[in-house]
Amino acid sequence: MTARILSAVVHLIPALIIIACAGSDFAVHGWDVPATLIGEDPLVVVERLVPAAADFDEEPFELNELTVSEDRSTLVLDLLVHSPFTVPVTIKDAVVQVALNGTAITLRASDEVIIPARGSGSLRLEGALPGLTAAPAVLPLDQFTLSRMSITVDVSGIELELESSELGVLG
Amino acid sequence: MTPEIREPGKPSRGINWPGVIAGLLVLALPFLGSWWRLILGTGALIFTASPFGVQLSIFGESIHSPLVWWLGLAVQLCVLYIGLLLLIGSLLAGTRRYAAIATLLVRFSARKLLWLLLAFVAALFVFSVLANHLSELAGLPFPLHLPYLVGSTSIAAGVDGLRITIPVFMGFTRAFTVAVLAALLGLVAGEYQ
Repeated sequence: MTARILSAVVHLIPALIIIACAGSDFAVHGWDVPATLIGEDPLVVVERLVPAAADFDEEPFELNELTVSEDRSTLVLDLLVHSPFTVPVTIKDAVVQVALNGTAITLRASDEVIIPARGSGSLRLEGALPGLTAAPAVLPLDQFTLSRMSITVDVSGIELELESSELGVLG
Repeated sequence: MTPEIREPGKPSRGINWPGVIAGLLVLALPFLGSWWRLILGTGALIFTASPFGVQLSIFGESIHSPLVWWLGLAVQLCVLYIGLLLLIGSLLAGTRRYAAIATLLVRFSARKLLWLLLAFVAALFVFSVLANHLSELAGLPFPLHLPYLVGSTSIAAGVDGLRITIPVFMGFTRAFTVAVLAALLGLVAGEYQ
């Protein structure tokens, strides 16, 4: 008889633990079923994760200036990049093809750039400048036509590659 | 008052050492962390799971369900209870006076962790199968080939000048190895008893 009672008690306790815990969950959340099951409103979580357009009114790229190196061999494009992401982003590679008086010039990022979460960072693109020995040190942006742009970013190990063509005048 | 069950004439078999070790391992399990993890990128999405709970973190933001947390707590308490019974039963097996109680406790608790382990692996396998058929089920524009339970791969998809590459890693943790060891020792303890 004692063995039967003990056996019943031993078998019953796990069920009681599960019922007690599930009941506690409901009691803690005031017997509100959605709050018990889901907890935080999923929309609030999504708003935290996804950058809202309304909160981020800046353009992702801001052209600073287009300069020519001292030896007149390299064209340097300085960009200011604004990140809408809530985590740091690494620009692993960026290639821009610009056209100046019908001549295509390819500019490539010299280094990887880390943009802090919802912050900004400077991106420098450099490319060989063919036959412009008499060019001024700073060139007006509207002389250049942006024909192709490719950018590779790393967001927490996820690689995003964006490519656009026929983008219009730089300035 | 402790119930007293005697089986006169039946000699004690001594302490059930596999049961003692299994009991101690089972008692440690809830404190060893998750058993399995899925990582996208280098931490863009981290999903960890064990019978004691699941945790989902997307870009550092944790998402959790209170019910899952409380049920995880329930499983933790149940596992601690099973570990305690296995330990007490295995130690009592060394006494003649409580040999029958020891048998009852060990028989009840010895295989429970094994069932929990099998149910957990089966649930993960179902999850893997569903995830591999997600592209067909949800009509995704790219195929999704994920490893089954363990492995790493890379998902690549592209639309209109945008290409995305997501490294995927999934695998069991050391805590799972401890759980397997504890489950096997529990099985041995059950047979020994």
